[in-house]
Amino acid sequence: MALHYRVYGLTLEANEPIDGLIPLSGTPASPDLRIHYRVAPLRPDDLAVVHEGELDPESQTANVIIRRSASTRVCTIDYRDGTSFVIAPGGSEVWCDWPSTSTPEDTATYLLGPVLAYVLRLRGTLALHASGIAIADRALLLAGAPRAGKSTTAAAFAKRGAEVITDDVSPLILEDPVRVLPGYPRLRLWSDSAEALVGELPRLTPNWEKRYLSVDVTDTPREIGAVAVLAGRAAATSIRQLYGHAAAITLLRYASMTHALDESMRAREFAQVTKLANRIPVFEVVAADALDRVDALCDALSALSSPA
Amino acid sequence: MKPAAGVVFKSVGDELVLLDYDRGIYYGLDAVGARLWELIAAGEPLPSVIETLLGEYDVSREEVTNDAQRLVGELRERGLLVD
Repeated sequence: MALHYRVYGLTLEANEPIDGLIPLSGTPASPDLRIHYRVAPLRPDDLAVVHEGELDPESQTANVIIRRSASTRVCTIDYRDGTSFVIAPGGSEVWCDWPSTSTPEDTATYLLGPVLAYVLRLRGTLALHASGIAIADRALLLAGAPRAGKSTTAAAFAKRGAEVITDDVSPLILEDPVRVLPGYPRLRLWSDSAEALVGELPRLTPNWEKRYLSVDVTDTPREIGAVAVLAGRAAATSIRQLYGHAAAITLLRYASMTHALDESMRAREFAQVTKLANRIPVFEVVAADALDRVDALCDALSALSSPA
Repeated sequence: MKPAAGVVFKSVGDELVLLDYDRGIYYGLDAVGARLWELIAAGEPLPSVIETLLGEYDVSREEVTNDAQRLVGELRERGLLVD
């Protein structure tokens, strides 16, 4: 029997449980996206590489390879551990399969992160590589590179009672006001951050050091007050507002899956991000390099998303 | 002189972001640079662009001329402007 879920503003129908998501109680009229676990469809012959991830120094293989077929517009995402995804044109269906050394939990970490981020981009939705929390009814998006501290900062806010909206993938509704769509009810944390902030947490998958913190997520888009880009660490926290082209180019850097777009998707992204930079304040944050000072960082960030 | 094919641009406030599709590189122009680009994109030759900027900004002819020529040189060098 099919299971249904809501995440990133999409209604999903899946043939197997998706780890980390809570099934909907009813049956929605028509899902936006169908997920097929353990099904590997035929791949088009003309798949061409559009992105290769970081190379493993030992094996000299990329951690991920994204390919696209010019004739069918089917995309594939293949991870070094053997987990693979095939995405139908326009992001309407996803098929995935994995080797015996992986688990459905591993697959869900890919699916709920980069794979659905790419599906959103294929469907024309701009998503930022950012976690989102709510402060006084407005969202503050915490953008940044991997390991920049997005989820850790979101967890610190959650510990102070703030609502978590999404982790790592922030899909946007570019209307007036600009809103962020909610993710799934988990924050993914490295074990050292988890330990320091909230104590021992369950592993995300048996094969990975990352832990997860369960949070409550409501299925309501939230107006965005600001984007804070976590740009590095230093002895003390500093925050500066970015304006004009500096704000836009910074946001372009943190658009989800921006490295794997084709020409028409790139054109759309350019228009969407410049629109976003015209409407939402963007701040560059250099955070104090110490977990015991994360509270002071939260205090400083809390003021950013308030109405001017 | 005109923007190269494959270069698109959008305003952010009074500044401009350029996207060079072929190379996948973004460039930013401040308010004065954005106005210069806008005039060139509208087909104005450089001397006329300089006259317009002189009328809009409180700067000397020498300064506007030098800055405009330097920026145009840089934009041509990067392949963003072509003849």
